[in-house]
Formats: sequence, structure tokens, C-alpha cells
Amino acid sequence: MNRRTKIAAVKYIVYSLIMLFLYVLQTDPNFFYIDYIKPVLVLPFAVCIAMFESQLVGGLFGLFAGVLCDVSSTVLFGFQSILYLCICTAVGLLVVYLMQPSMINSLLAVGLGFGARLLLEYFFYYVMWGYDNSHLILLDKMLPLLIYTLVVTPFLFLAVRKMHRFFEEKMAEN
Amino acid sequence: MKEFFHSWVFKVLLALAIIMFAFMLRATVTVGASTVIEKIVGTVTAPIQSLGASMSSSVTGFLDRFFRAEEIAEENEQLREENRQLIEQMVDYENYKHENESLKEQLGIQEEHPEWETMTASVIGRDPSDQFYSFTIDKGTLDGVSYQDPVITSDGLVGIVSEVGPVFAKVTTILDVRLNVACQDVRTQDVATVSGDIALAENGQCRMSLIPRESGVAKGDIIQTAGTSGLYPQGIVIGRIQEVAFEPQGTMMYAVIEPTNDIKNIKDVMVITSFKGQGSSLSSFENASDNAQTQEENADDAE
Repeated sequence: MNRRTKIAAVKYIVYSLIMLFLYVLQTDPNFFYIDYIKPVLVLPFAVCIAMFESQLVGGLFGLFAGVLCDVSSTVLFGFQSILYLCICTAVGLLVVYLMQPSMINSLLAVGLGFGARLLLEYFFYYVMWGYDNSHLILLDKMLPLLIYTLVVTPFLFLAVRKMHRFFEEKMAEN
Repeated sequence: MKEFFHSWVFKVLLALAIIMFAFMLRATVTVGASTVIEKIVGTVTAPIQSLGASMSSSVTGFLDRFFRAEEIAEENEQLREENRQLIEQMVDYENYKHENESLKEQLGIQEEHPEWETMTASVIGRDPSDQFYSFTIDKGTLDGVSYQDPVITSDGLVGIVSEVGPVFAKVTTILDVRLNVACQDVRTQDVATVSGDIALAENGQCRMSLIPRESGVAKGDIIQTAGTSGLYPQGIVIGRIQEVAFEPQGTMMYAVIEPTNDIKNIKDVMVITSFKGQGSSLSSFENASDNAQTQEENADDAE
């Protein structure tokens, strides 16, 4: 294993550990609550990784984020894993062919991706079953959740960009 | 873009998506049991979550002393007042107890106390995207927790174990619209169903449905589990009726229930792993529900 590969391995291990740390923060029953709403942290982190790394790495971290969310969630296992895998792969491809990795684009990607995931859950878990007042879920729960998640996205974008640059410099030195 | 769809990267990602889809299909069949991936990831993450939850609990507890000093003082004053009222109620209770015991002796009723096996557990995680405050606890199959075990606190019913892994379990609360609990009014003995309601869940309340029109349920009544479904033992307090009203459609009534537990902020729970009548037939409750529905249909016909 040459030095570049070692640095790349360290980078992915660091990303994975941060992902785990964010998952613990995300599911912690005490921190970050605003009126019982808490942001999702692992998806924006995976989307930001997908923006700076290849679509394969982005897709794999998207899958990792999805599995973590599925483990803590009461929705069907695999629902978020598949969605996040697709979202992050798509973001990786968009950066290759269409857009720049910027903060605005990260907000757009997280907003559209997570928004789509929430709408799918809303449709499959509430609209299809005909529950009364299901629109309240969308307005009082899902919309604030999306907004809160978008608020934390720029911080995660800056953190991932800094880490990516740091490891790129280390690789360039060799 | 075209090259991507012909590349090995696309094939790898597609294969992973297919594998996850297969797990998703399996999860639809094996309701309540974790998949292999969930077991592995859950086993790795549960101890970290547990550590994180205890650390954050200590930190928030420490900070609360400073931020909530005034609030705590008010709460203390309120608790003193409640304590005084409780002492008064205790005197009444003792009188009623004595009277009740005499009546029981007269009627020769043998009270049965079901044997419950319980286990304490801590809340180690809450899913931010869950709308009904479900949570994960730090006990699983290795500790004897099973799918559909009731989850309670000393205040009353919290919910039910909806999925279980080796060292963790997911709990669906009584605020969830997908959960139905056969319940009973302690005063009138009317049997009905408690379930979550999207509009009420926001306020931490739930809904008691299928109450017959001629029922005497009233505001302030205590609602407990009926124990007819085999999922919950009889007599666990669910909450207190806040409001009784007629259903917009049909002639049945419904009631708004204020659970005795503060489900949104719960930190420690007890899991009932075994109780008398666990898993017994649904016939009693089905009969009760059928009777209620028949009454509703008859009333509709009469109209």
C-alpha cells in the first residue's frame, strides 16, 4: 500500500467516524431539540461527501447514512438506505457533469433529496392510508424538519470541504 | 453520463441497491425482527448511543440547574401544593379502601394479581424524522425483550416494542396512529380503543374511539388497558379523559386522552417481558369492537 492509498484510507475512516458521531448526535434524546424537532445530520454529510468525492464514494456513504437512519427509524428497513444511495450517487454525478461543489448547490441537493424522501414517506405512510389531518404531518413536522436540516447543512459543507482540502494537500505532498 | 451507466461503478451501486431492496422485501415479511444489517449496525451503534445519551443527559442536567432555576422554584412550589392535595386524597383513599375491602369480603371476590416480569431500560435514541416520538431502548433479545412487549413507566402505558435487535429495541408510542390499544374506562367499565391521532399527537395526547353513544364516559375519567387483546395486561393506566365529543360521522363518541406519561420527554422505561394472559386470543376485544360497530350500524339504520 503506497502513501496516497494510506491517506485515502485514513480519509474514509475519518469520514466514517464523523458519520457515526453525527448519527449519535442526531438520535441523542437530549440535544439540539427546538420544539421537539431535531435535524437530520447524516444525509447532509453524505451529500457533501458526494460533492467532493467520486459518485461511488458518495453512493457508499449515502448507503451508510441510510442504513444508520433505518436502524433508528420505525419505517420499513431499506427505505432510506436505497433513497440515500440514489440521492448521493445522483449528487456525485451532477457534480461531475453539471454543477460545482458549492454551498448553494449543497443546500439545493439536500433540500431536493431530503424533501423527496419526506414526501415519499408522507405519501406511503399517511396519504395512502387515509389518516385524518395527515397534512399536519407535512406542515407541522416534515417542513420544520427539512428547514432545520437545511440550516445545519452549510456547517457540514464547510467541514467536509476543509477535510477534503486537507487530505488533498497531504496527497499532493507525496 | 452514458459511460457511467456502462461502468463497473454503476454495476456495483446497482447491485447494492438490489441487495437493499431484497432486505426491504424481507423486512415486510418478518415484521418485528431486525434484518442482519440492522442487527450488526444496531449492535455496534447501541453502546455508543447509550454512552452518548448518558453523557448528554448529565450535561443537560448540569446546565438545567442554571437555565431553569426560576422554573424549578415554581415547580417546587407547585409540587408542594400537589403534595398537600395528595395527602388529603390519601385520607379519602384510605376510607374508600376500607369500604371497598368490606364490600369485597361481603361479595367474596378473590382479587387476582397478574404476575408481571419487568425490566428497566433507558432511552438511548430518538429518530428525528419520526412524527410520533418513537424511541430506541438499550435492551434487546439478549435481555429477554420480545416483539410486542408492552412498555410502561410507573405512571402508566408508554407503548409497545415494534422491533427488536440483540441489544436494542424500537418502541412505538401510544401517540402513533398505527397503534391501537383496547382500553377501558375505570369508572364506567366501557371498553373502547385508544390510538394515536395526527392532530392530537402534537400536544402529546391520543384518542379514544368507538365509545358507544349511551356510554357514561366523562371528562376526568381514568382510562386503563382492557387486557383483552393479549398484548397488554389488564389495568395499566393510559391516561385521563380531557374531552368527550360525538364523531363527525356516525353516532359513536370519541374522547381526547391526556396520557399519564410525558411521552415526548421520557428517559427511562420498564418493559413487561411476561404477564398472565400474554398472547391470548383477541375474541373479547373483537366482540367488544363488533358490538360497538353493530350498535353504530343499528343507530345509522334507525336514523
